[in-house]
Amino acid sequence: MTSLAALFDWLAAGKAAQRARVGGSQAGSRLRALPKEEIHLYVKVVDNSRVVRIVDKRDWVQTIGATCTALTVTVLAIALLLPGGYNLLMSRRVEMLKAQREARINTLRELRSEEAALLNPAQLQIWGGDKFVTPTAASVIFAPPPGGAVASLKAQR
Amino acid sequence: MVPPSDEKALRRALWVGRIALIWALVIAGRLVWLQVVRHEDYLAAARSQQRHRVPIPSLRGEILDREGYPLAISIRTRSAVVNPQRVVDPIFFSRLIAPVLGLEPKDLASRLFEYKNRGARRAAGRSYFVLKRHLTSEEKDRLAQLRRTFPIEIVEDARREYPGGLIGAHVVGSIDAEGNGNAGLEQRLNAELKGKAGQMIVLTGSRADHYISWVKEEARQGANLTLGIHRVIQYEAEAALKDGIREAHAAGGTVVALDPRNGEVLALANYPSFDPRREKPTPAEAQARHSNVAAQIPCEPGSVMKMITLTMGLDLGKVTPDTPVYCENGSFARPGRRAIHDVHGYGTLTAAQVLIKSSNIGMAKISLMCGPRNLYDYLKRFGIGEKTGIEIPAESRGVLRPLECAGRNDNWCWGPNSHEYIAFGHEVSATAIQLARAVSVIANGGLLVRPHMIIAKKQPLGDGRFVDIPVEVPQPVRTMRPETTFTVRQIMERVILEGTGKRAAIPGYSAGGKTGSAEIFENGAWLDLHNSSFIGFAPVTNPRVVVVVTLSRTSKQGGIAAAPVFGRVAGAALRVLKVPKDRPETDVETAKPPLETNELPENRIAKVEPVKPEPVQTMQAETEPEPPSAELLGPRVPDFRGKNMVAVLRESASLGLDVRVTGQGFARQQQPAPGTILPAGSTVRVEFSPRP
Repeated sequence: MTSLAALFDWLAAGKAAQRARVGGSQAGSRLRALPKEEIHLYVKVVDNSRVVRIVDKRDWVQTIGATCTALTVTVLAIALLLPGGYNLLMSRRVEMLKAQREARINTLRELRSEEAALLNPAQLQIWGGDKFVTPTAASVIFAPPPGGAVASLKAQR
Repeated sequence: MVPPSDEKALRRALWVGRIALIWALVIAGRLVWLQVVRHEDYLAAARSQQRHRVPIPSLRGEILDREGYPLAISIRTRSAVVNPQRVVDPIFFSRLIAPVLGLEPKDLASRLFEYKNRGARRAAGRSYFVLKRHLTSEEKDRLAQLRRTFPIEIVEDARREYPGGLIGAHVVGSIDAEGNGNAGLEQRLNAELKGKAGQMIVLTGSRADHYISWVKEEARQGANLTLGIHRVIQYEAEAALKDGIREAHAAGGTVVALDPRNGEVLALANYPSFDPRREKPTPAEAQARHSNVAAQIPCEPGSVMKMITLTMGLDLGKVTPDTPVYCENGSFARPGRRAIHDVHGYGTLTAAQVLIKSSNIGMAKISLMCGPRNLYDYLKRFGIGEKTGIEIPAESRGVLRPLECAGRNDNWCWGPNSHEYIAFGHEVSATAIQLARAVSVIANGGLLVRPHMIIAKKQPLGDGRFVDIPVEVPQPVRTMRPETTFTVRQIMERVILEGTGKRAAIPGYSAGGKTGSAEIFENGAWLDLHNSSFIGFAPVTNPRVVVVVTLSRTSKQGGIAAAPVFGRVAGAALRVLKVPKDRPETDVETAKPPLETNELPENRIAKVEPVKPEPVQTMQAETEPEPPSAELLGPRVPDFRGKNMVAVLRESASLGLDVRVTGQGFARQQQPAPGTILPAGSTVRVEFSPRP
């Protein structure tokens, strides 16, 4: 059996001796590292070999009940909050999709506008020049009539 | 016993308590006053301060051609705005922001200073300055970094695009900087196209920094309009009109192409035109933007009105196509009335030839046969003098004076001889749209249609789907017998084949039409300029397109200046509409168009002989017209005997007689005998033999 103070003194002795070597005469005027209370440590041996484990049914029921209650409340809370939370997430997603759709519709508008500008007859006239000429009837080559046709215009087989 | 010091302290405490109680009561009373009595007032004041309704701009509807190509379309964009009052140093602000937006720093700074100064005097309306509209994505990204430092806001905006450029400018119109239509359909149907703005509620703090907002009402996009306009026909009409005006040295003009079966406008072109994409037009463009000649400015139709007069005569049974009408050899003078002239003197013409040769005298005589009441009635049946109801702002009803005078001093009515002059297009005015409707009556077999440009309306639902909006177009009204119109169509075909409208021929298609030239009277004098016009349809048997061409202030007549424009536009329309050809193409290519027509500007009659004052009389006193006399209908057969062939042919041509000759030399016998009144459709046979 030893005291805690002695233990600390022993532990601190090494450092103090080192300081003494370095510092010289200062070691004598230093205070103790810890106050010198006498704390005694004991070791008691407990024998559990004769202890009898008795099942407390009431406590068990209470524990199980508490656990179930907690679980139920948790499930209920989740069930209550989940639709709202899911709604929130989905609403956000729907809004994002709406914004995407708006952006795509707007892009579609831009593309339609560009297409119309490119197919503008004035533009085609610039590109095509004199190539856009209605062919005369004599220059039109008629496709051969399909089989079984009883009449066709200028049919040539 | 309480010590004196404690008693004093207690008294002091009581006083403090009383004061506190009174103070509490005052506070409570004030609170009651503010929160109970004045509750509503302060609530409203708080809401007005904290709660703001921010409009969500709606997207303008599209305008599409009949094939679905956009003529006008709105695209969502973003614009950068700033509150100038919150810009501390405009110069510093401008140096950083202007390069990002591609602006000139000095200009931006000066404008910001201007707004700040204005704001000092009139802070209310000057806290909004648009830095730049329609930002590109690059500009938006670059601006995002600077928005942390400067009070710049990005707001939703929309850009109106006109992919067709100038094509259909007068039909589609344009919008102003506020997004409201200021011409054409954009103006007329602004409410429908604009849609309905949405509403966002923004709750703000005392410093007007918004912290919560929600959409109360979604913006509703405007309706999409599909027009009957076909962009290719429209382009051809504009190009042909421009070329026609250049060749005729005209000041302006208009072309209207109509589907006579239902009144759908296929093309409507005016010259001069404007560019709808230009936000700041030149003065000339601004003037052109607001003058849609086709529907807003009537002019004297001239000879094209003869179509109505002849139709009236045929429909009433007063004449047949072969009824002879004596055309007085070019001058029809009556005592006390203005003489009517033809440019070429004709003798007897058939009623059909009167239209083909465009004889003013012949038409005046047909009108005399039918009487003024019938003429007025038939003008109404053709829709003259009434608005057509086309979707163009400020449509004119033209000028058709009332038949009967309101009183003795009323001069705004028909005179006793008005029906003679109106018969060939004088004393009456009509717009090109009205004329197109009138020709449609002939082309579709006697039905008066309502010209309209919108053939479908669709309301976008915002989710990519559309709801059809019914377009109400009145059913065509039958105004005359179909067989009459068929006869007139055949006669009008001859106008192009053998009359004044040879230049209007369309290769591969039969067509009918009528030329017109009305001389311009301005500042008290007749100018040597005409309003030249041509009305027509094609093909003749089942017309699919009606085209009206009017060129203003040109020295050339309708058959020279306007007829080629008709041929080009109608040909393009028939090709685009895939109408099968009904004639050999070579027919037209081999025919030589005349260099001049024999048309006389109808209102020149007024120049030739001054108007003598006539007493105005009401039409009620007028009796029904008597049957035409023999002198009115035809001349006596002259004595050809003893004359050579050249002299006989010259004399017969001047009288409009159909002469068949046999033999050579000098006239020996003739049938019928000299002095006989020639029956309708008859021929004079002259036998020649060498001089014995």
